[in-house]
Amino acid sequence: MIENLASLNFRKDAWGQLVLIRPDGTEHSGVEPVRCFPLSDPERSIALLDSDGKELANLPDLSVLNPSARAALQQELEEREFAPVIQRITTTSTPNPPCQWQVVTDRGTTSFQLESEDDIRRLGTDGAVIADSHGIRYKIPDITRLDGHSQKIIRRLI
Amino acid sequence: MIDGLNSLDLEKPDRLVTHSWLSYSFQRHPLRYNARFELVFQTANQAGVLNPITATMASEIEGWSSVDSTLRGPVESRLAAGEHLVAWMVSDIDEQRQYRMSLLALSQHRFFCSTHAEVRDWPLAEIDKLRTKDRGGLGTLELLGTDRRLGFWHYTIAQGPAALVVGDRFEDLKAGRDARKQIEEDDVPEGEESESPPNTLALFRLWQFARPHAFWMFIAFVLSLAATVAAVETAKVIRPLTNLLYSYQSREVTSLSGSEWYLGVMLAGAAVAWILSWGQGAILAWVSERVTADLRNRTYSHLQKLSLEYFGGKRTGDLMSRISSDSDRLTQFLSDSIVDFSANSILLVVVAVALFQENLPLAFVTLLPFPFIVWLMYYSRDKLQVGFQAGSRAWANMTSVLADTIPGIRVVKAFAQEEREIERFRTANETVVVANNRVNSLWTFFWPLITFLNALGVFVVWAYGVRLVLHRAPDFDVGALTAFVVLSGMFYSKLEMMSRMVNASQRAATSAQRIFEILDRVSNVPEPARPVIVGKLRGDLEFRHVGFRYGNRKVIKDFSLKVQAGEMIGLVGHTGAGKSTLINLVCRFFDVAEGAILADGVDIRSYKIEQYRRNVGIVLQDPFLFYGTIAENIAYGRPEATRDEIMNAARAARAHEFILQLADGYDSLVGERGQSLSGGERQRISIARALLIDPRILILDEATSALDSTTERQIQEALQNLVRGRTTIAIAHRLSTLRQANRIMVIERGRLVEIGTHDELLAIDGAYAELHRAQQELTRDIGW
Repeated sequence: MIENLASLNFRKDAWGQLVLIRPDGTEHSGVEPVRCFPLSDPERSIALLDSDGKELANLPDLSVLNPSARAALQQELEEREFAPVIQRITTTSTPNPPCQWQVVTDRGTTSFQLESEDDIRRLGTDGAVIADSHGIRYKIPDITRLDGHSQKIIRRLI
Repeated sequence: MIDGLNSLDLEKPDRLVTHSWLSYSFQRHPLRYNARFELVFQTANQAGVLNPITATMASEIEGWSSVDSTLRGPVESRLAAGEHLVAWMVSDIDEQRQYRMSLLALSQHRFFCSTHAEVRDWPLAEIDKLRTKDRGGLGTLELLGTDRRLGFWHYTIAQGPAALVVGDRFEDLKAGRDARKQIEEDDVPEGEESESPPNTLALFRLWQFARPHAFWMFIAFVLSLAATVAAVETAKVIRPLTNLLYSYQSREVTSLSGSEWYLGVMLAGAAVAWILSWGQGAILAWVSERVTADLRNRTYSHLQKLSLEYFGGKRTGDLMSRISSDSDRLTQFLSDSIVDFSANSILLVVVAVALFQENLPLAFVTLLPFPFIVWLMYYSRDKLQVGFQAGSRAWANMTSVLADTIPGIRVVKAFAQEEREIERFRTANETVVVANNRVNSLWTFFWPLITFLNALGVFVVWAYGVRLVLHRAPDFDVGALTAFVVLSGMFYSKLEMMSRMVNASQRAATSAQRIFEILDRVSNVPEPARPVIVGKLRGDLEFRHVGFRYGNRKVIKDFSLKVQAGEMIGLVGHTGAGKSTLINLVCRFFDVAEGAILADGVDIRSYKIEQYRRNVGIVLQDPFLFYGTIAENIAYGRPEATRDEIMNAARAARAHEFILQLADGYDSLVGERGQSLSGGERQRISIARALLIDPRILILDEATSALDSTTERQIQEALQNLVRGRTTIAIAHRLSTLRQANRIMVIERGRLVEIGTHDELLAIDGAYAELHRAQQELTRDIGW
């Protein structure tokens, strides 16, 4: 495990892979940042894995890094994450699962198959995470901030 | 646009991979890619030398014409003469990870990317590799040049199969190879078509279960109708009787003769109504029990046929509550409410007709509050449904806590978490209370309101009647008013009963919907539409480019292997490498996502599941014994086995002696509430169980890893008997248990990395050798 986290650096190689530069200058290419608690506490405990999946370092949070490394890692995390945030539920094929949902997300409109009400997971008091039949996760940070129609659809399922 | 690939086979002597035509199928979302080709090809005599071959192919590349023409057109127009597309896919998420379509296509010379803004292309010579990745449901296709990444595109998993085809076609082109030379009819066997769930109200769908009893239901209906008519007809004597009494009191007449007749009619009417409703009630109660019993049976048998995947995602408590308490609610509804509801709605009509016959304007006034009440019932119905759903869910949650903690009670006690579990149950129970309270507060508000409106209805009759009498309306007397009051009272009291029924029917609808949700679920392991009949298999097994994923995690990747009948294959690898998944695929607990598994040269999806599984025996790490005798447990897979057969199986499994030590011998009860057996003893019973069905394909899933070494030795002996002459796939952590294996394969991250005999693998000095060394050290250190 790498100790001196503040002196870590990152760069992207020509292949688009993340390269970790250790304080002593040695490099690890194909490093993957992984959030240890992606749902309950995404900003803390970010592990850096090498290409074999071995943990190189575990960052308590991104603030331990120097500003340029933080920006690089932040960007890498964004690029590899795909969890559309649902802003509105337009229609559902039937009120109860299994059903097809038509949604507006921060990444555009899409539709997905909801297999079971068990695929809707509550997060905290007002949040929810929905996993579709392909395993894509859609987030709703705060159900109470959705419009009435969307709230009604989701509330009857949780 | 045809798919032409002029090349030949230069298959390298690759240990692991045999190239064949792939077919992809996702069970839930049938997404097929199986163009057919007729190829005439020549074999090369020397690797690396390409001979042109003739290829005639099916016309257009499948699905191409379905692509948006604004994306497709620019690519088509760019194609040079003689250039044609080999594969294509849609990237439905752009670089900024927004939902936006672009089209990726591969011709034999170039790779195209068409967005709504532009078309780009890269000559294949510049591309070193096409790499696909997927993470968290987001797939990425990367176009890698020799010195840098040329481009990348994202896609959702639904596009995954197409992406894999693009990748494979690219590899083929690069290698100058025609992977489709072995067209061994790898068409995915068609699964049985299952009709899509009808999108109607769950309660109406109960009719399909009631239909067999339609005759009795009709009788009940007739009885109910007759009872209603009797009640209303009886009310018709009220007017003359009242008028007679009125006349007598005002001394217009001097005798009450005729009143006996009226009283007699009333009594007889009441008696008839009683007898009729008794008959109707009895019939409907019987029918409703039958209907819900059928529903329970059908649900349970459907549940048994669903794939393991379904159970993996469901909580036991929830399933149990659906089959037990939800169906019980339905019985109650069908027997009580349906009886009342049908009777009452008929009565409403009959009474309304009677009212109109008596006095038209008064009838209108009487029925004034009626539409409002109906609207109110309708309005509350929707609210109640949501409430009841929440209630059912909370109830299921509570049962889930039970189903979770009662089997896990040892862990609870060992970690002294009783208080926490009590709290967890209390919380779940509290949620039930809250959910029910919400419903209760709803209908406790609506119900008195409806009662009030009903009272209002009767009040209107009085008021209007008083007015008519006051103005000395013709053809209206106190008798008519009394009859009206009685009839409208009857009308509104029935309406009030019906409004209560809204409650019951919504509760029932929720329950019905929860049950139908199970029934509507289609098994991910479908029965073949045209099954291949099989008795005993020979036992040849072949994995052909098998791929599988759990959700978005790819656990098996391009796995190919041929196993001869009777061969024993050891399966070694780290935890999570995909060993158990592979076994689940062989057992058809799941179906492959890509490629195929063949038994005796036939795709296992072509066999009837039951017939196929009769050929597969499995011994698990922690065998499950059902509640019953030892003999029953051994004969679980073949209940018709004779006592001698059972004993022989037990002898071969080295279980006979210890069974005889038990007080009741083979009749000893085991399983939950039964005699407790040690791990080794249960294991031997499960080996006997597998032996008895005499399977051609045997699966040992860490059969000995939970046992001490003495017991393991006994089990090993038992296993030797079991393995003999059968195709065996054995997973083991302790390599020593795989001594008899003909070949050992090592799996890492879903891929086959090494295969060979123990000695060969040691000689390679790779992953197996490392595992071997590690275990030897462990044995030395802790004296295993």
